[in-house]
Amino acid sequence: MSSPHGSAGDNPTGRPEYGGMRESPLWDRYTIEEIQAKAQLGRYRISGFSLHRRIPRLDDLVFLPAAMTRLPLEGYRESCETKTVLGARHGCAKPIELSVPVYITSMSFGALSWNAKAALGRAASAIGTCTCTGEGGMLAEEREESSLLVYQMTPSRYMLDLEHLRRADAIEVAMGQGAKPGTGGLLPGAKVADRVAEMRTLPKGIDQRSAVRHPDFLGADDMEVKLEELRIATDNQVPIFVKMPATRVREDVKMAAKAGADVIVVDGMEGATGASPEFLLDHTGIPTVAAVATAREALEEMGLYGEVNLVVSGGIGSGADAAKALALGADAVAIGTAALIALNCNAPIYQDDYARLGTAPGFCHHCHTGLCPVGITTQEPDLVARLDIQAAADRVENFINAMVLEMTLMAKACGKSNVHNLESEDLRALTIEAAAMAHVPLAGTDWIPGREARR
Amino acid sequence: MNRSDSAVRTWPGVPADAVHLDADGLDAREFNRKLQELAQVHDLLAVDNPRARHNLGIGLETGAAHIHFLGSVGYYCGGFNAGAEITVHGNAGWGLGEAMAAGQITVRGSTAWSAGAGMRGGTIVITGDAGPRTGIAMKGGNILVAGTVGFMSGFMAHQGKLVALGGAGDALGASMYEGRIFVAGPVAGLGADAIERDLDGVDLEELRRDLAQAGLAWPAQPLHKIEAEGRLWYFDKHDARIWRNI
Ligand SMILES: Cc1cc2nc3c(=O)[nH]c(=O)nc-3n(C[C@H](O)[C@H](O)[C@H](O)COP(=O)(O)O)c2cc1C
Ligand code: SF4
Repeated sequence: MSSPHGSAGDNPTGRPEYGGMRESPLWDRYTIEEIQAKAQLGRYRISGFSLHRRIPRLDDLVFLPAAMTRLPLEGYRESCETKTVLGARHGCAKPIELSVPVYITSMSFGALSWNAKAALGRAASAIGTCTCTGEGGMLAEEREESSLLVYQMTPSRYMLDLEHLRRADAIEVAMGQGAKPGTGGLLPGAKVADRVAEMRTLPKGIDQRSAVRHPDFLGADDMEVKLEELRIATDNQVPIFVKMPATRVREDVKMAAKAGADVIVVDGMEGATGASPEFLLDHTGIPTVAAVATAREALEEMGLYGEVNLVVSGGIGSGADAAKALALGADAVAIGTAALIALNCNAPIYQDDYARLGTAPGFCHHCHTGLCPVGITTQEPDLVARLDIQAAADRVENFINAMVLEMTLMAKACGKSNVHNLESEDLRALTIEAAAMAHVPLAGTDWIPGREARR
Repeated sequence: MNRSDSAVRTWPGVPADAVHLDADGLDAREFNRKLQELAQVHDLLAVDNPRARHNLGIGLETGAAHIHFLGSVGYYCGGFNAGAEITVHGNAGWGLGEAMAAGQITVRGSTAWSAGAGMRGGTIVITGDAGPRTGIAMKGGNILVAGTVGFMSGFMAHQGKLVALGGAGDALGASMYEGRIFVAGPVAGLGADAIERDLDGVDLEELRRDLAQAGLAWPAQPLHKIEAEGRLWYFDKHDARIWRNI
């Protein structure tokens, strides 16, 4: 393959050369290391955080703010509404009323430390938004700190009984998550400390691999009966969310809507985890950018768009991402990793402890070890103490406020006085992939791959 | 439809002074609201015409009355029970007493799948047979079955006690964390990680007391005790040091 005309042709991979050595594009160092690690372990790797590959993202979309044919609002002067109501579909007494369309997603106590849970709850309450328990039961500190708490009912039903159900401001029935669709939760033994074990009724220190199928319903019809049971048990005071991973989004969203969900949460493949078989992170589900548009269309096809609320999560890292999700049809977004990063995840402090895990700030995905250097994903009291609740809550509050400022500024640039008025017509795609997935035209064209031109 | 199909029969064990509530003409929400109201004031209730409807007797709280369902009930009867005593004079559908924390549910008949799913406390007594996945994900309390339990009973149970006096289907006790299953009669097969262990004095004493309280006869065939061996509790131990750091 060598070329007489110099080095470019010698390196068909287009990758940098290392002292004249060429790396195989197929068996690169990453792949080699991967195989050799498995050759030692005898099983898949386990990891926290999110995926390890490039995928089409909300980032591949841009807004078309007002210029000539549309009028913008004054970004620094005029107001823009952000209030968001979730779950009014079945007339429950207390739908979830959020001051902003951003809330903290389900992350279990167990995966997270008690300080992290408390800080997220405090930040959410300061903002006027909600937070979610996740699978590990309802932590007392979290309930105390959170003015609006969504209680997750997973197949394992940890700590689930009438008393806890009635303390919830909404119930989220978990049908999976984007990080590992079709697979139950995973909590390595290092994190199954006394309190976690007690709340989950587990022997202390075991590797908990929780169930993926619900124990007492299987399909749409029995799920409908189940959701009605939850409404009766809570005297129809609170809404019912159904959370699902983004896989067969069109069909799954319809099924959840038919079963009676008030709010449907769709978690894209970017959705993070405290611990998962690593290959599931990379090889399952569809990207958030594809999930949102499909979910909206599914509801539209049922005539339920606007009646059933749509929440989207997975890789939402900025106000721009959130604004795009809203424009594509979401009523709100839920954030996990971004909130953890605001707490201090991957912050350049306690660098020796990152090094002990074989990593460094900016590279850490070691939540599964239970040895989080910054006290977020650990149950070790000394490490947890590193996370000061008030300071951490302030950072998360600041970050969400920054996100919301970005969202309102974008909405006003697009001439909208309410963030919920953003629409997919306001978007264009920078790549063909994103255009096809988000069902918006490729920039500079009328072309939505797979669809007829819409003008 | 005769308004009181079930009322014209006499129901053994249902006292004559029970206050009656007719389920006919009420949807599940209205029914439960009425039932809760009555349970606040009366100790003894009898529900006429349950007609195997779903979601009957949901979320009854501690100190609530003894409620007799005069006929079969549908899915999730007694779900989220937090202390009531319930007797079903008939069969029960899926998820009987799911997520129950306290109280007692007695079924004078058989139950479908997943009785006692995720229950945390209290007692379920079934005088007939129980379907598959009885006691799935249970976290406490007792399930006592006079007949058989179906396949995968005790699946992923955390704690608690499941007793089947007439045998069990396949994959009994699959992937339990802890908890105990006692079974007399034929067992089609044990599930993943389930292992038979010897009964000890404490087991026998508890069982004698439980069965006597439930009014169930001691089985003619010997009892076997099934528990988790614990092999699924950990990923292979030899690689724990390695996987901590990847
Ligand atoms: C530490 C951690 C713990 C999590 N625990 C749960 C859980 O208990 N239940 C659940 O449904 N999802 C859980 N998730 C997934 C999140 O709810 C959410 O779907 C995902 O993190 C969203 O993507 P993002 O992190 O990119 O914002 C967890 C995620 C993380 C990072
Ligand atoms: S810093 Fe902590 S929370 Fe962040 S990736 Fe590392 S272990 Fe996980």
